Amino acid sequence: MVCPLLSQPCLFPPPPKTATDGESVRLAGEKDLGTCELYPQQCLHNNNGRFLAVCGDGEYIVYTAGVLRNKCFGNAVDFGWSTFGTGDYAIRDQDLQVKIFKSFKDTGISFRPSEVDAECMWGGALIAVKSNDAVAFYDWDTGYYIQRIDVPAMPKAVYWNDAGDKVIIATREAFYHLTFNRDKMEETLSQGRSEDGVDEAFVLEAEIQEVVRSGQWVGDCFLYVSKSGRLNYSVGGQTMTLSHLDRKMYMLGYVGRENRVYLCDKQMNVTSYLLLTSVLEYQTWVLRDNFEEANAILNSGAIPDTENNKISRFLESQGFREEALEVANDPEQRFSLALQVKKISLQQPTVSWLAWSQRWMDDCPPSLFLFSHLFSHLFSHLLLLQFISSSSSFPN
Amino acid sequence: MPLRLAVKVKLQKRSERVKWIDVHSTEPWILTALYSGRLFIWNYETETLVKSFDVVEQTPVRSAKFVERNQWIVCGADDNHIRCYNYNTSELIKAFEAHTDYIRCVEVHPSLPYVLSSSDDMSIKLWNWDRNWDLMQTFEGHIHYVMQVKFNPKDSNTFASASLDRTIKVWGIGSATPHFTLQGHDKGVNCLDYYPGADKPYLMSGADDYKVKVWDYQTKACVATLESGAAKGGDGFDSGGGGVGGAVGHTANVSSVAFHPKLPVIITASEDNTVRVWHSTTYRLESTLNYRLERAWTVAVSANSQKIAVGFDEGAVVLKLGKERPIVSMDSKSGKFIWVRTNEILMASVRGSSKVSVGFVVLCGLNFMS
Repeated sequence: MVCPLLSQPCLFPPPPKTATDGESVRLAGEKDLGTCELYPQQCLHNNNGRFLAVCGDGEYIVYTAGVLRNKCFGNAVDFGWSTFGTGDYAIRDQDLQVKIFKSFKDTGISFRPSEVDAECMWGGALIAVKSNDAVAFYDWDTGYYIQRIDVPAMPKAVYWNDAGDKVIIATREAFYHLTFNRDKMEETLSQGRSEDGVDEAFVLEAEIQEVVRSGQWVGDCFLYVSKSGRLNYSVGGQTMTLSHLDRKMYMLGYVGRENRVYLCDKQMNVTSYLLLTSVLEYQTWVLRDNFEEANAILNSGAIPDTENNKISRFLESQGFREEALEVANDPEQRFSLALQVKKISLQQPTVSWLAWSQRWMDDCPPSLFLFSHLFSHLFSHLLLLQFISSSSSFPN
Repeated sequence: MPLRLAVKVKLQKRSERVKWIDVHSTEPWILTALYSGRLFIWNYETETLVKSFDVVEQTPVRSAKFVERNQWIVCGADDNHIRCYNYNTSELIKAFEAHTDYIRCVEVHPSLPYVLSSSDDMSIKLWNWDRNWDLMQTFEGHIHYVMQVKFNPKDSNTFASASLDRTIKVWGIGSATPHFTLQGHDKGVNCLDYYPGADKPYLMSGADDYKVKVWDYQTKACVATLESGAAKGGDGFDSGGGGVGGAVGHTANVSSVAFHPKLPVIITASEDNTVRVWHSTTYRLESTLNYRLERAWTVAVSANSQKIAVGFDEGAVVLKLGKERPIVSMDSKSGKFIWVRTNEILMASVRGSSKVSVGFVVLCGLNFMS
């Protein structure tokens, strides 16, 4: 089965451990592809990885990615690939006019962004033009203005997912997760151009107070390196930390087949961290409320048991407590979840009384009512004594 | 079209006149040698003083360098002595009289235990610290003060010297006479630097005729002159203020020059109080920087970052040129990634990296500086 979000086979066992997290990665087949006629300030693969664009010195060149054969070139201050068409890109020239190319050919469609005080242009599922305090989006087919998103701090980058329906706007102070409604855009644009753009084409999903240094979408999960030096991923508004980094690192990308995310530093030392595709896919399905697919991944054994508690915490954060309880294997976590769903009987075989009593101390006041019920058929008189002696220290 | 390099001040410290500056390649440190006879090590991340050395009372220290492999500093002063300190313990390792006049420059060999010194006594001397700072060789030929010496990073058996006799000479270790002499400046030459990349056999010099010249040391021809009104391109932008009414070249003696190891830029400092950044291929002026610290005396570039340090009459600044973010793109499907080092494009793959039998496996972490 192929997960449509990742376009990779998802039901396969986790790979043998071949690389150690955070350690230097040995690179294969390093080669010098030659020198470039300009000094690139940008270097970007297109959506299928077959072409590479470099941009700098007021010019751009598109090469074939394998052997750097010239495909096309021209004047540009900024260059951006489209998420969809292979040879579709946009440039912003010295006169600050944005020009759209399809299949490496000039479409003749160009526009001068008037909705923002344009500083820089990016590609993606829509053309993005940023100013000091906003990002305006434009349609690839028509160049029409879609929507302007105002942000309180300077935007640094936009990150689109592969499906083109989710975007992150990263600013100097925080990042914003928005969803994009393409149908709505197409419906509005079918009635012709509008000065006001498309109302509510974008909806703000979450605001996360963290500065993204670099990032990438994998399915519905946004993987990023934060300015505070953490490798995180954000899924469904929840942020999880994979690792704390000991130096300034930048994201190279996530390689699904290797189940690893690759980072590099400014000297191009490459390191990697394990991040199971199966976990990301599982979480993606859960976010789309598709437990059938999600459980298929879970039951296939693609996710090792060691990940269960992380998954459980993720499910809990999404409000799926019962499912979280089924996955969890940590006694404390199970107990806490059981209290939430009031399925105490599940506790019986797994909870150790020491862990349990510690847990109980933490949760005592709101859940006291459960205890008499619990105690009457679960624990010995000895435990009851323990309970009474410890509960006496709490004011009622 | 300008390079659009953002210039960000990382550190700005007032002090007595800074005659020489050096940047540590791994620690966030700069070393300043002062006209008042002291050395300071500043941390540009924390903006604090790491260490100071009182070398000689009220006698200029005109040159000082880190010797990172030994945790040393070597410096030359106007009392004709070379001194060597351990920068961790502050211990004075060695002090000896090296010349019969002021020492203008000390230069450390990139791999061998050699220090070169140049002096107002018109000589250049080569010292070996492994043999108790034994004098290996004296190079004579200049007929005025020798202001700077510099090893060729691509052939460290050779070095170049800049002299107030208006010439640049290129020498080989073990050879008593210079290989050749470059003539072209109208006044004394103060400073020089070698182009670090493999693609061009270039050398650059700055002189009291206000000009900066770029030389091809294989054809011995001057390939460019960076001066007022003559530079190609012309319309550089002015990001630091202080650009002099349309003129792009320096308007006073050029005191220090440097090729940037990573960016396609040349940095020049002058007694006209400015630091200028030029494109190293088009020789167009990219920006003119003035930090209101009076005359600029010395420039140093960091080998591993985009920081540059400049010393002035009234202090020192550390600047970050452009963004340090690597210019790299990865194709997630194939695991291949392509990155750019100045204008070279390189490719490598992270896939197959787990297999031991891959034909040639290169350990990443290559030092890209030549």
